[in-house]
Amino acid sequence: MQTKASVDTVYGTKVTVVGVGQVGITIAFSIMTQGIASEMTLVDVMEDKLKGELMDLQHGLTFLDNMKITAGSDYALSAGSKLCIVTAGAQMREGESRLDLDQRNTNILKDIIPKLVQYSPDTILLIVSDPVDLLTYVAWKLSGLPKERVIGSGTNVDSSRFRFLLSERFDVAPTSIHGWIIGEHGDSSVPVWSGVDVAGVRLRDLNPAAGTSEDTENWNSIHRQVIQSAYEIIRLKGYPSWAMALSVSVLTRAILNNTRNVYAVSTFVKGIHGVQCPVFLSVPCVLGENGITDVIQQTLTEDERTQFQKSAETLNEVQSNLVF
Amino acid sequence: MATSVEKLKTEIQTPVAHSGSKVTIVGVGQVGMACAFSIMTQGIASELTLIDVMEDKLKGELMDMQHGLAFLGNIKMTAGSDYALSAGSKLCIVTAGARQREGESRLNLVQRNADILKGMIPKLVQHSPDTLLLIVSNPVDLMTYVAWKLSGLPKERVIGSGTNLDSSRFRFLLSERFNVAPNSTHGWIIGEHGDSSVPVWSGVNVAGVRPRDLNPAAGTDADTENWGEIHTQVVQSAYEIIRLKGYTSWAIGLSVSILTKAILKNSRNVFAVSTFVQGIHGVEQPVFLSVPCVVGENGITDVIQQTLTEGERSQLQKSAATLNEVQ
Repeated sequence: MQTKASVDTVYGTKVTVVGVGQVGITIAFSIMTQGIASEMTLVDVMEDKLKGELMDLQHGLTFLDNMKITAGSDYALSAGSKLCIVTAGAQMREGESRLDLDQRNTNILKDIIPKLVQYSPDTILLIVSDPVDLLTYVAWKLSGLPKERVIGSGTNVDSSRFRFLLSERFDVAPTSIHGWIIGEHGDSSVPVWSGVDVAGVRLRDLNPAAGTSEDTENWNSIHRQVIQSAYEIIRLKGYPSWAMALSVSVLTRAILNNTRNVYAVSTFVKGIHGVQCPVFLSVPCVLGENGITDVIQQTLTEDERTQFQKSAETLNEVQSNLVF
Repeated sequence: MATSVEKLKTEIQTPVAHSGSKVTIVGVGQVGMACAFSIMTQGIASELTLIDVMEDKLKGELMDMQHGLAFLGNIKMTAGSDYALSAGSKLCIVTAGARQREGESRLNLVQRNADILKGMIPKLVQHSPDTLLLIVSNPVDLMTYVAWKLSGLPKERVIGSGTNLDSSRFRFLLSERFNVAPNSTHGWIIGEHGDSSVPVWSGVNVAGVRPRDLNPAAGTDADTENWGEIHTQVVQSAYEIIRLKGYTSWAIGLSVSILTKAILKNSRNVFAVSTFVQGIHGVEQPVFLSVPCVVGENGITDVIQQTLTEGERSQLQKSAATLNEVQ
């Protein structure tokens, strides 16, 4: 029926997703529906779940541009990936200490990271597993890769939540509102109020106290809502998935297409904003095919700098107790 | 003292309350949410409302979706248990209903789901009298008939997701054998969305070249290449995926989103969807089954008349008779 040339080398854009829990599989679906990668591999330990998810994804391909999708527990399947996204990780057990959980997650990454790098030595690693800043550091240490190629999803999703909540107050589209949350992805994230603007008009110009304790409009409640969001969503529907998946898929696109867009992602911040410890925290970074190429130097208030440095110190403390 | 928001924006006119392409999805289980996320990420609708009875789940899903909007074109999203939220919808997608259990056939779901629709369909039509209904709940052909009866809408405006998904599975599996992209492989499955679906082998082709031209026995019992096995796999797919991962979601979500796009954009593409087939292929009963239909803003405008073999015609008529009995 056909005469054809043989096709055996992959030159396209291959992505591996490790972990097919709610976050991992939703990331896979986001990448698929937005036509971001030409090949995708799902890796996990649960063979049946992998197979079922693979079949279900493949059955939708006639409605989309074609892409090759594979799945299995063998890391050899991930060979040739431009980007490896790691969502695998442990959930906190009742009564378990933070340090014990962190050590368990370190051990999980010990099993994953070296294999990914072995099969795709030129890959970029995008870490999503929580606590993401700590685990991005761990992944970097385990990978032997240059720090520019190990990225944490960081506060990209916090910033998206921030922009959405701001958009509700301003009644304009979320993509027309600009605002950055940096630092730790979690309870001590830092909203950079001086950067919040619509059409170049800064909130701080309209209300100089915006985001401070003197603010009569209580803009800070929006940042508190961002921090509470994950807990709230877990309480209401069991787990967060959609926003996180969209956050990761947009980072994926930036990397694969070398778009050089700027996103708040977790990177090595020693030397930035006065941080002296070797830790990963989120700052606005330029993303491209070779990873992070630039860090945007925001002008932070004294308060914002202090918060940032404090997060760094806390992280460093935890890191020094981990066994690699 | 003007607020920051008042200082930022000067209003010129009031924004519209409901935008042009509004879609309501009833049921936020795995299928409903996959439909919602597919529609959202592909920029298909400008407004999306989710309706269900579980308030907490609705709120959690709404928040989670909204938090991703900074990465996409804006879309207004609301969610709640009050059907008034659905007002002004161009299309209402019904996914609510009991789910197939492992080993359970679709026909067994009938009565449970018919009762659920009774509480739902009249309210949707009340709040959006001009809406189209797209029924996904299983067994879909029966549920589409029930929805039509309950709605009082003309039959062209009540559509079942039908064998659009089966055809997609068929094309994917064929594409694996041909080693070309699934959307370059053409093939239609019609009739019942389920165990007695009908693969129209005479229509299967790549670039217009048919397996039947290369292997006249393709799809029949005499077929040494066993193309018929592909259809068996399609029928088994849902059961297999349920066994492996607990439920199906992604493919049906995409199937529904592409139908949604065709309706909202009046694209007039052809899809295998469940429609009223009395008078088609010799069917005498008032039932809904899937045939290739032209789909647009006002629903189904045409049915494509395929040339079926005697075997395919009688299979279709048999499904119709079975459905009619249940109805």
